[in-house]
Amino acid sequence: MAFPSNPFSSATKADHSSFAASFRLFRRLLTLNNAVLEKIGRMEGALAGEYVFDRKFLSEAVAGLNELVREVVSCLGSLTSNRYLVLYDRYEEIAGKLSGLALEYAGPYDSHRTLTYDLLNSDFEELVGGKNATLSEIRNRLHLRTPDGFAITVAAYREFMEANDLFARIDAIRVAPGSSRKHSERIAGSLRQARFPEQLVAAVQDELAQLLKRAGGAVPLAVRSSGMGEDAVTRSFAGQFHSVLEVRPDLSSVLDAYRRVIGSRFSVAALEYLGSTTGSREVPMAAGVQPMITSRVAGVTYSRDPEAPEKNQLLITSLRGAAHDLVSGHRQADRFVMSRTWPFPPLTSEIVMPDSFLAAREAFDLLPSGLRRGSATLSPKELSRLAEQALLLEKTFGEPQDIEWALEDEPVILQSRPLSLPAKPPPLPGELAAELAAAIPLMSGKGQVAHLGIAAGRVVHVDQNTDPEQFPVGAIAVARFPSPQLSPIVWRAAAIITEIGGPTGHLATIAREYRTPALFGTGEAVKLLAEGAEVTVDVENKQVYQGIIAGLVRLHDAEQDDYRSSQELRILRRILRWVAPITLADPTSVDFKAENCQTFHDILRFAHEKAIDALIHFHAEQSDSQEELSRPVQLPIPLKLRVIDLGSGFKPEAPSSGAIAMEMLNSRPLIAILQGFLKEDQAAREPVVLGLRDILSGIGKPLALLTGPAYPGDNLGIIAEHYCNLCLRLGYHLNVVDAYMSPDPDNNYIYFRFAGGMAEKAKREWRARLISAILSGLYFKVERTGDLVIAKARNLDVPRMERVLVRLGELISFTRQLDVRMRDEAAIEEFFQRFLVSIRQEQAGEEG
Amino acid sequence: MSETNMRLLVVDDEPIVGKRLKQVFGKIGFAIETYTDSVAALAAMAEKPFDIVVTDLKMEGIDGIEVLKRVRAMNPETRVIIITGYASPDTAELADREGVFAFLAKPFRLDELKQVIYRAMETDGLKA
Repeated sequence: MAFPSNPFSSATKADHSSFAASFRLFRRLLTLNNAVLEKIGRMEGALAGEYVFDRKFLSEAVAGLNELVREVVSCLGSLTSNRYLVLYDRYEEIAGKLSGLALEYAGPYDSHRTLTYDLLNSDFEELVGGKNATLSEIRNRLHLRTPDGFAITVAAYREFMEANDLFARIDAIRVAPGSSRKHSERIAGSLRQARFPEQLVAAVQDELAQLLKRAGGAVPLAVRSSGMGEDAVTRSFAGQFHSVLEVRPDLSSVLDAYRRVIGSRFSVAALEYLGSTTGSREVPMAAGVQPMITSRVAGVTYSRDPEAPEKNQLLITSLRGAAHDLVSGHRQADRFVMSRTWPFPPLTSEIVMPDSFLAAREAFDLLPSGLRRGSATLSPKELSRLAEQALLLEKTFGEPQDIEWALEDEPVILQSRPLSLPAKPPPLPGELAAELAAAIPLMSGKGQVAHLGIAAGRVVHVDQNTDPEQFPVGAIAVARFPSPQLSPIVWRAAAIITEIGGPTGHLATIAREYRTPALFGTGEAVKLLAEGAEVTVDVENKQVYQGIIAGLVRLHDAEQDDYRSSQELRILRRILRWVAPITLADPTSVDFKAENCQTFHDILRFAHEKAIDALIHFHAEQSDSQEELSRPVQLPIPLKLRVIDLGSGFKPEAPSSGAIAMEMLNSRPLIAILQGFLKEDQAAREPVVLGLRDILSGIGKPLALLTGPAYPGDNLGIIAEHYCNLCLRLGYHLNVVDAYMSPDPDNNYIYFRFAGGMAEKAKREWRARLISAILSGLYFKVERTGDLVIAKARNLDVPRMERVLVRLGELISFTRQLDVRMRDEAAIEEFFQRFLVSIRQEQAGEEG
Repeated sequence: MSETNMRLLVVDDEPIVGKRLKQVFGKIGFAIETYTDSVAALAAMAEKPFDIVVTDLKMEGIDGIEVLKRVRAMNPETRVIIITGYASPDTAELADREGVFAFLAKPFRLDELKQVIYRAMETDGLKA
């Protein structure tokens, strides 16, 4: 995207300066930044479902991204005299991976015989089978507990089968006359005699050693089947493939168990189930090797009660001991039917009396309270934790789930697969149309799709300070800003709506990872969607309706999986994983280094940060040579400000040399900031506006801002019509404002850095905290380390930009007084608090 | 939408396009058939006409322009929408001459295609 007007369009002296050249690079970098983000947005839009795309789109998108990011890296190189050479290496590596993925070369892992769970997720199903892929997804993306483990891949299986010519031999056995039983026996014989290829054995040996090391010793293992599509088809199929439990933790036992797992692919039941038309090469078999989970209680959760799927309830069954006792159905279990609505009140429970001799005594003992000891296997807290996880898994996998778990202190998910329920027909178009015609829209056509979906629930307003544990699972989160701190809430929410932001932000990526429907950048959701209201969100159509629209919810439930599981989506997800996430979130961290860039977004972020640094430090490094370029501004306050005009920063009628009157400035962001500085004066004439003077008079300590101490040294502004980079050394504070303000909100940003001060450390930090709070109230995303505050705001429209910059001016103007004049910390805090209140009032007034 | 379902045919050599459109239009009341092979698609059209045809431009064998010509010859009432990643002005003009209803560049927003299809339904002869 091009900037709407080129700050260099008119010739100025600065044109020839090296600063102007740097500045031009900086602008180019911002343009590239936008272009990349826009491309990522389109790709994420495609993933979210907003665009219809095809493979050509994937390869073109990757080619385009690679080109743009290459230029970002070289721009930063020019700006910083190639200070970050290693960034080129990071770029080459990521770009290479992306090209490979887009061309569908074998992925980086496709030839691996074994893979540890930490490297996997659901997109690896073709390589590691359904069970391994699903467990890894739960482990690595949802961050729930699962067994540790590794996969023996489909590649290993094929290698084994080919090395022993087993596919051909099995096909020959199967066309020979005889029953499935006879066939299966002969196949089992061939499998028993087959030898494992050396490299496969070595890979398993290596992986096994690492697994046991992580497990802290020689623990018993489970070797489980992980067939392709095994979990996706009906439940009757699920039991056919074999898992071997209590396997001794040595190589030969593991390989024996693996051989039995492979054998189950050709068991009588599997052969009959798959039928004679399924060739031996089809339905390949991977396996998972995991430590056995010792558990106090184990069980199964159905995220919908199969006996009453139309009711809003889920079913948990549990018994003491290990999970396989329950699945094998040998013993009777406790049954808990619970509401699916947070906090998941139990509806009915059937508790089985413990049947063992050992447990019997315990069950009949009386507790000190005089009551009999509760013999239920699960506490209410454990039950609600299980219910919460079930809903999350259902949301993630897009349909009701059948979840096997074991519990010691925290549930460990052993398996999650689709729960087959009688299919509900989607509502007829006429029915739905009538329901929608009667519905009351609370918000229409606003915002951008961050992740498609339909959800219904209660509205809960949240911000970065909301305690995620207090957020009701399944509620609709409504926030002003898509702060990354909201991630755990996105995890719990049925949908999330924000006022600011778009589909490319960090939180949007999180929403897609957790499959949480997300509508971002709606402008006024907090006002329109009242706390506690029941609403239905249809992200695709950008509609939020009052109440629960049953037809829409049913429509969503009936959606088919065919598209969701397509190969193109999988490739796109894999591509985006090297593109979209930000892993370098904190520029103040010691890890914020070029060599740590993991994704294209990291590279952008890093380049942006370092480019701003380069500009900010330009003045300091080149102060001598800048003197003649800069011109003093005449201000009615004791502030020595010089400006360098990059183009259209002065009005056309301004004199061509000498001091510049304030009225001759044409830089909109600078004018707004100076207005804030001067607001005292205005406040006196406009009593309606709550200005600094009002606030300060309440403190009872009159402050003569206009006759305050002189600002030491020169301050520099680099300006253009839409741009201003202001370095202010006020009092003992160094403040930097870098702002771009144009009619297109997409290009707009404010970067504000506040640091320094002479007061003792605790006080400075306290102030930084207060300033952070104020900035957070002004659309800023704030990062604070000690007494350093870095605040950034993006994509604000002109009125908001102006308001925020004026406020920033006021704030800067006030902070310069702090060390010099104000000794009373209580008064300072009082000021900050009132300032905060006035910002909120102004905001409410403007948006009300 | 009409009482009898609007008949929509999609032909694109990349299956994902058909999958996605089937998912979307199937659930809002269209009778939708999807093909990855233009010969098979034309055979289906010859059997029973469709109200709206969405076709890819670049395909092996019979391309989108040829599909357009044959559909128009078989049933002039059918509205044809061409979707393509390579929309040169020449082909657009050619398609226009052959009576294409609309041209959409891939990747397109679902909303855009919906709007075009709704417009196609509102033109003569197709309105419910």
